[in-house]
Amino acid sequence: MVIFGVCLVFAGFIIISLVKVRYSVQGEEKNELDIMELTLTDSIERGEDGNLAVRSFLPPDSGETGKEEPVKGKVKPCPT
Amino acid sequence: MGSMIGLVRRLKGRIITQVAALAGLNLYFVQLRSICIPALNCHSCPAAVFACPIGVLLNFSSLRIFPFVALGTLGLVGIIGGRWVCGWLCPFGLLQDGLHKIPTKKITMLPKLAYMKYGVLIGLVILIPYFFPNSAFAFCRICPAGTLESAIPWRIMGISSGYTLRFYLRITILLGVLALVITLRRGFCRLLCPLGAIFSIFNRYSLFRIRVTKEDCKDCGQCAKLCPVGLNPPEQMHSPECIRCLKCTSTHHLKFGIR
Repeated sequence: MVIFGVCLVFAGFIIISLVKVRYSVQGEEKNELDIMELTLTDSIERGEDGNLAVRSFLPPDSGETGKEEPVKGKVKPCPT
Repeated sequence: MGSMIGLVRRLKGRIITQVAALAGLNLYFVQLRSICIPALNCHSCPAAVFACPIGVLLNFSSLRIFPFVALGTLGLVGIIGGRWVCGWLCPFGLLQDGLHKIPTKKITMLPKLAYMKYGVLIGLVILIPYFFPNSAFAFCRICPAGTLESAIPWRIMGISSGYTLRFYLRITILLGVLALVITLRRGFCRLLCPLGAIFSIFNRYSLFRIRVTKEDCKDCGQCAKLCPVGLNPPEQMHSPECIRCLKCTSTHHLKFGIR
């Protein structure tokens, strides 16, 4: 009976995440699975303001410093 | 004779399951990396299908987000069978089983050293990424499975950033771990694996577990000789170190079933 209860708690974690948990990333609502996918390519970080932000990855010959507004959707493979 | 045949069948079944898991988790052409599968299989591997739960926990810790899905998945799998994933699914476990067959001098382990893996889990997977998100000493940056499955393949494919000091550090750690598992059976699982540390918490409470029947146990010590992690199953059947490989059940003095 206790094990059944514990199973329900863990299943509840997954259900709550899918149904309710949302994070704001640069004004866009993302669920945990989206965040998970972004983390796998090191494409998301906590900004200096403490909010989640998509990292900018600028090509080396672009002449940009990379310190301007983050560019959405440009990701690079995990450096590991 | 019958028990020997049973043992061979069971061992073969476990190896087949481990190899199937290795292949299934690394299909290359399929990517479902928003799904977290409870085995130490680096999601930075070019062939990986699913996300590694330790990588997810670490990344979420560095973002300071509660990992509902990863913890829910690990908890559900753990409460059902404890550390069975270590014995039956983990690709790095399969590698360790294979390497330990190399004929060299074997060593035994002080039981207290097993607590190291909890230190790795709390320190390198949770605390360091939480307080130092870009630290070079977070677990994934030095994970031997990650080095083998992702750092080396990416390097060979010419995509990662070259032969840096960090790359050599990772290779050194990998070689150290490989030397360890050749001499100490399942050395990485027992000493260092943070995923094993999580599942080990559930061994005592899991739904499926090993049981000994007093009338069947003859204190012959056969099951202890078979145990890959050096346990004496009749006394330590709920030990956090048991990887549920079920070798001990081939003696027929112990049974595996619902509690």
